[in-house]
Amino acid sequence: MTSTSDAVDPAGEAEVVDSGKAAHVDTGATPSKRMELTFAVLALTLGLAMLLSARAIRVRNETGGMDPRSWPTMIALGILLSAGWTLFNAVTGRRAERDVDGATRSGWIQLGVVIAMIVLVLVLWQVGLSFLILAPVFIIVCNLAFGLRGVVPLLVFPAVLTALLYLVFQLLLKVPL
Amino acid sequence: MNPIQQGIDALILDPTALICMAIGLGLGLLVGLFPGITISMAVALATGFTMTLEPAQGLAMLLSIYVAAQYGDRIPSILVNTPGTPAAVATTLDGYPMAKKGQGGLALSISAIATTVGILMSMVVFMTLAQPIASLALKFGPFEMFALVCFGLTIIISIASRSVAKGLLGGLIGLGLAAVGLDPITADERFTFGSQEMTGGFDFIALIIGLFGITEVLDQILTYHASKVRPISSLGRWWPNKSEFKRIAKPMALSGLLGIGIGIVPAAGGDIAGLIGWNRAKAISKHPEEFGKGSIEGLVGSDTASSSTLGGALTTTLSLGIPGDSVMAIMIGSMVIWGIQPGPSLFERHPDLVVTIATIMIAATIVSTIVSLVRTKAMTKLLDLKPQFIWGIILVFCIVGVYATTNNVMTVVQMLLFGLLGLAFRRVGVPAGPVVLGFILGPLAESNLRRALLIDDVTGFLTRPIAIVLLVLAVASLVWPMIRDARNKRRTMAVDGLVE
Repeated sequence: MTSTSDAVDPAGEAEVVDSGKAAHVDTGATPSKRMELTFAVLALTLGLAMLLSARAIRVRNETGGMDPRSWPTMIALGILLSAGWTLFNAVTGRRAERDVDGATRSGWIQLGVVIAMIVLVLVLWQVGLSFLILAPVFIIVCNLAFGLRGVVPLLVFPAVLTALLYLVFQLLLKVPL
Repeated sequence: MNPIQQGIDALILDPTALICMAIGLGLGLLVGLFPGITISMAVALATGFTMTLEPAQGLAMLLSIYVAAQYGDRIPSILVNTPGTPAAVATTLDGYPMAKKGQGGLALSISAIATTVGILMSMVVFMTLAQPIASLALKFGPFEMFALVCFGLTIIISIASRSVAKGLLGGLIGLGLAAVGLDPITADERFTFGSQEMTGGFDFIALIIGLFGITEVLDQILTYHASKVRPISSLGRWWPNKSEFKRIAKPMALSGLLGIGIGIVPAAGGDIAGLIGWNRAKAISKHPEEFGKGSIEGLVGSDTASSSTLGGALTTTLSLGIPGDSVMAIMIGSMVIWGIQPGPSLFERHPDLVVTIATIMIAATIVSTIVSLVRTKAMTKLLDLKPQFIWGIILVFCIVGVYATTNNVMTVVQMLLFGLLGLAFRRVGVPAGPVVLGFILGPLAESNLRRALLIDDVTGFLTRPIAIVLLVLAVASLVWPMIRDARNKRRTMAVDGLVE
């Protein structure tokens, strides 16, 4: 997705820019050799683990030929080859250009809050708390983390969204939330 | 009753299907309108709700989102210079300059007309070509089917990724995820590690919503750079005059045909077609100097080409069972859950459903055109909505949508894990498309390969010309991008050398 922005502003009070100029602002992520190397090594580890696990699959009736181990083994070998290729590219310094926008410091914090909140919601939901109670709390905490303040984001929006969830899922689709 | 009548009735005589279509159209327009929400993400999210519906009702919602988003995504491209979805990237080239010249209304109308013509042209091709292709594919044995699956997978890898190695890794990881659970032939446990829950394998809905929905939102949160882009508010006249209609006819026809051809190629979508269509329209124009500065021919070239990929993608998906694009990959997954296997046999087993699909596409196109042409300025006001509100809505609906399919919180946990995996993949440049395609096509590839090797040994491929051609094409689609990149690099180095 093309980004057309140029000012970091977690509070949401963004600078108003002309859209024509904004389209040319570069917010792209810079290539990172360390990241490429780490990824390639992780992929190699995954391939190796899959290969060992594939060979350890217990087959009840050995019939010879292509058995339940063969396909996963082929996939694992493919992963090892592609990971090796990626590692070669990373080591030889062929740094891949990145199509993604650069992460911001506030973005990392907000991401951490959102993931922590999702985990917390899932734990409490599993324990037995209703999602209709958890959803507004989740939205309020996320909106606070996103820098949104005021009655609409912290009161009206969570209330309307919870009412919508109740209407669509609990009443119409009969999903016990 | 004949299948055609039956197929049409399944839509128009079922109030639930019509309501689903109306909801899909509304959602599709909104999805297109908000930059950051992709069509794949919206369709993936909607699958969480459609699983409990009848196939015709579910397809009415999913396909309507697919069609309507083609209209909605042009609005921010033209008024804000930000494509609503990747398919509208080329629309910005002339759409936004037109809006800056005070012709925003005209650009929006012409874009809607071009989109309609593109989709309808492609649907004609779908209706004439899909069945003959399916009949041909019915003659395919396991060798040919395995080769076809390989071709479908490799072509999406070569198109979706900058790096073939990473695209390949994505596809193989998708195949690996699909291998978890019970062996399709002997029912031996694979990678379940003793867990009873894993014998059913990973949940498809959790995978697609995680990879397309959660990943997208988390990535936006991580990279959000706040800026308020002011939409152009002075839209001028809306309806093109006679000479403008005359001027757009030729580029419209040419780009429409180009888009159909591109759409038939698995994985090649509207983003690529739009740029090629714009380029071709420039090549045949009497005023190429106007391109990029607000040319209606440029706008028509990009929008007709990108929208005419829809019928082509549908043809490949339904007649061969190979997804034409990522939305179609999700659609295949949904159909499999409904007990319908897209592919050559679909035309024999469910001819009425094929007619229903064509009817939904055409009806959704007509309604979207009307809505787009009579739209008011109020619709563009939605562009002012802060993305943080949309993030919250998507996250909550992803969680509840996935939960609704199994009533099990563990499925939501799977979704979150796939979302995080997708985020990591996106940051390192592994595309989600091949992962999903590998997951969908994995069982098909394995079962066909095993059946093929029961009939004959590996040399059996050499005695089957169609299988050989498809395998050669599969290898070529992986090798070609590397040759092209090496050539470009050499050319760049040569130019740099000359400059020095």
